[in-house]
Amino acid sequence: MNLSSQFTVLIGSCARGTHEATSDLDIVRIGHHQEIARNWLPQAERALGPISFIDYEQEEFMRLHRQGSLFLHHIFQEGIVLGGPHDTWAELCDGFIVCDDFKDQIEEQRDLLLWICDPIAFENAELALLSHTFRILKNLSIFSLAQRRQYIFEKREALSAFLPGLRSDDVENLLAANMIFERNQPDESLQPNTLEQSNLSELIRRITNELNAVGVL
Amino acid sequence: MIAVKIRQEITAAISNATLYTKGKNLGQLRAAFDGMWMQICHSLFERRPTNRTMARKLLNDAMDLEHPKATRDLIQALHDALRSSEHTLFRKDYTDHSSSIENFILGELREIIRCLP
Repeated sequence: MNLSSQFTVLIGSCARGTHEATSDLDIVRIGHHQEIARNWLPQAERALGPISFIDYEQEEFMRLHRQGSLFLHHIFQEGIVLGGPHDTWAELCDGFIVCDDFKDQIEEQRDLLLWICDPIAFENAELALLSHTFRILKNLSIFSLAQRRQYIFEKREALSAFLPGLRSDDVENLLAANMIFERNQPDESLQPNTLEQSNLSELIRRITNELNAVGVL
Repeated sequence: MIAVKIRQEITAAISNATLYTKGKNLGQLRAAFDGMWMQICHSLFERRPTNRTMARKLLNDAMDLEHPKATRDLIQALHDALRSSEHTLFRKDYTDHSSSIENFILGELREIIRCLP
């Protein structure tokens, strides 16, 4: 890649055409040296919804390109180039080979999940527990599916594909907790009583049962 | 005021900050930090802010009120850590920011632990 190349790429639900009213606009910036000018952001977010930027230094992007990073695979698969030389981007896509071994990442996410699934330690911090659990389960699902050469990046789809026995209302509750905690969404989307210790323990039990069923634990 | 497991994780990070800038340890530290501020807010105010932004607002408002010195110091330390965490612990860009996480652990996090009863 030409060292002066900079790219701006739309990814996520907006790029896939599956966005909802509450969806973030996810934008990857590669090789940009300037910080986002924050003064226009509130106005843009009022019109477009929350905008989330993921910045890569060019050297880091190229290192991950050589490694066959799963996230880069995701960017190349669904990304829409908004800025930057399209011919160079096409060369980068063509020259990319996704890694075929994610055992380390799977193990890391599994260990993290085992550490966090402790409702007693997170008493009075239940929303944090659910939000982190959702993010870890999502990553675990995406890496585990990729290990089987199934590349799914949409969070609900990935969770349902990897953990088919997990109840859909559990998936929706975990996702709602993550949206409330990480994206400042209103908390009406969470089912009542979800944060009560007994319900939380039951949810964690259902998650661990399902992870046992698919052979992760 | 905070769960033993959460306190142990944060103390372990302070004892070996370099280890906690990447991978599983960083993931655990992020979760422990979120658990910690929620538990402190609940203990101090009997309130459960739903995210870091709301917690900062709650702490900001609390700083205008009269509190014993130990409580005031804890509120200030937690407020500073929450503000700083967005640019360190929870920074989204893919650049190496290990040193800023290390500084956060040894600065803001250590200060919270010092202020906790």
